Amino acid sequence: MIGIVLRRSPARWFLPLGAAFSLAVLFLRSRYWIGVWPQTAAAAQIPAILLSGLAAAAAAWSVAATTRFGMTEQLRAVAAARWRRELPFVLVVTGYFTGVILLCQVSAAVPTALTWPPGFGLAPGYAVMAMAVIVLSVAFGHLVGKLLSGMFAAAVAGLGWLLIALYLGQMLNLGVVSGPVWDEIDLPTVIARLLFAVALLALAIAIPPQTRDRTDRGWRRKGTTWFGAAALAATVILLGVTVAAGSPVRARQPVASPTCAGQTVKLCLWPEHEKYLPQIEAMAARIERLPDALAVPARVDEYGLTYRPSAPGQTYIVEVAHHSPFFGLVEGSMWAVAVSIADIIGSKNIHPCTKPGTFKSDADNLLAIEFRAWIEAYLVGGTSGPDYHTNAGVDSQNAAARGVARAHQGTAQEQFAWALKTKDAFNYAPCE
Amino acid sequence: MAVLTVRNVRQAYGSRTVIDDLSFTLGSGVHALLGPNGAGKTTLLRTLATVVPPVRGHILIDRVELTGPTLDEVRRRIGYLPQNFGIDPAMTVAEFVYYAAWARGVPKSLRKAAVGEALEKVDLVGQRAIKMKRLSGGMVQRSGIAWAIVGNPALILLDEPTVGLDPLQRIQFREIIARQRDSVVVLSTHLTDDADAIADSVIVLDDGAMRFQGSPAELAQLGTLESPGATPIERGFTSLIAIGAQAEET
Repeated sequence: MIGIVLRRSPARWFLPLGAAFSLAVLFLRSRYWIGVWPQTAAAAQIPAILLSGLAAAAAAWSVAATTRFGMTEQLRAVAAARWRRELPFVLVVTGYFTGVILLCQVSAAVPTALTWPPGFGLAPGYAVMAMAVIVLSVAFGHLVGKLLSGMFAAAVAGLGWLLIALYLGQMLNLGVVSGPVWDEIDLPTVIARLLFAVALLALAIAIPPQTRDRTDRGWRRKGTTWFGAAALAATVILLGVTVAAGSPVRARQPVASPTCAGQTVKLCLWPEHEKYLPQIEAMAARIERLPDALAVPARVDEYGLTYRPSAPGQTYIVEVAHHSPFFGLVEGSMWAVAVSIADIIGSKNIHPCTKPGTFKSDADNLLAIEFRAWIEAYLVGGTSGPDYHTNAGVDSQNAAARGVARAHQGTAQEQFAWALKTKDAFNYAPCE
Repeated sequence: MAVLTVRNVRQAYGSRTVIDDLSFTLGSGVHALLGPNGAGKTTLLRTLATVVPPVRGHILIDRVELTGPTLDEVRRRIGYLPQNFGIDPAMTVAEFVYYAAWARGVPKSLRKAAVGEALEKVDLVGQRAIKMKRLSGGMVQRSGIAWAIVGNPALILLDEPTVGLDPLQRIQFREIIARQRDSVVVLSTHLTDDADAIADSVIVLDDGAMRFQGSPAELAQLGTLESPGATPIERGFTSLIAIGAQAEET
């Protein structure tokens, strides 16, 4: 029977379209995730969130088909229990959508697997998370399709699910937009979520539809009652477990042996970020080439590697007592790394004031901005402008542009001479 | 030989009794269920089809009594085609009939053969791969009959199956039904000539009670009222209903 439903389900049209859409979202949005397992799995999980509304609508449409086609009466007289009759339709919708998500996961995994970086174990959590979103949306759609059973069931289910996903998405991390290496998905939590979704789907199947003629009395079927009771109990228990577990996104424990670049200045990465090692090595070499008179840190760690502030995702960090300072490597951006390290180097060299904005005169503050911008641009090799935007004032932006331009122009010796002169100038500038 | 036994069956919707203390036994063959509108024909068919449990009484199919625990077993022996049956337009004719066989619990090993046999009986073998939405009205009706007869159920219940068919299609339908005489075929209709043409026996239901059970010829003999243009069986039927109405008035 599943074969017939597979061949005749309207959801079959979705398979090529959904796959094309998902692969487009995956490969055309960005590709920084290639070569980093958790980022790969997280990127492949994003289409699940986008398609879940459609999955809910398809499930509602599918379950309402019996009523829509006027087959309710003739099916009331058959031996197969209602839940058994609904099962092929539910499995097919779930199968089509999870198939697309699995295709997405496999397609994303192929380019990453070519280099096989460390951290494959961080990937399954995101894949399970994606599955849970799809099964949850199908369960929701199935419920709506049974309660409304009308032509609008699909629209209500699709839009309703998107609203719920928006709300729950923030509360429970239904999905993530990125899989940074300093986070991990707690596998038992997402498995519990997936099981909850399956239990909810079973409950949705067990619940009688609202299309019964009110004059009808039904036969009491022991099996159906037990099935419904078991599904309800499992749903309630697993809901409790899922809510108690909260967000499955957890901070990773620091690793014992990070991947480090540099000799006198060490820049250390999470091992999973080994694909960035050449760029980080180049950056470490640039730091080592700086004149000795410019103070630099002995070691800078990637975010979360040895220390993690209470505010996750924060990238503008200066030194913290008893910990190496750290940088954020966000979505593969070396500029993000340079911003963090420039902050650290700037704070060591802008003395006695500490950073732009702490000088008494505007001219000194602007010079500090220029100095810091120069360090950033120098660290990334001075090849292009930063890939971020600022809403700072025109004077500040001009000062930053001058700093970036300075890294493009002139020899290294000329740049270093300017940097040393500027550092000296800071020593005599009054602070606020 | 298949047997349907109905004993003291009462059916009601709320406080309204629709069938009251009905008893009869039917063997293999075609049995027409006649009655005016509101007589309780559809309610009786739905009760026999296990769509609604009876308020009281016993229904036995091949000596298996219809109860909660035997429900599935009984349902496997029933083929039911309601008056306004539905189709899945995306399915082919063969898939539609296969769906019925699967839902009715025909064993997997026998299902394909059962579908082939049913399609052969309704002369739709050549159309088996055509989608339901592309069928003519007559073919849809024959597909519906295939839905009801697939797997050779002991009891076949057809509610007004000839409504909307043209004369040629009705003749075809009669031929198809005539091939099902190994089962107990209960054919609810308000068209007495259908009953006259194919039924081995007739039950006349009026106001929830059985007014007559016998052969079409016996029903025709009851005709006492003169009615221009009426066939003998129509005269018998109208006389019976008129007598019942008079008795109620007195």
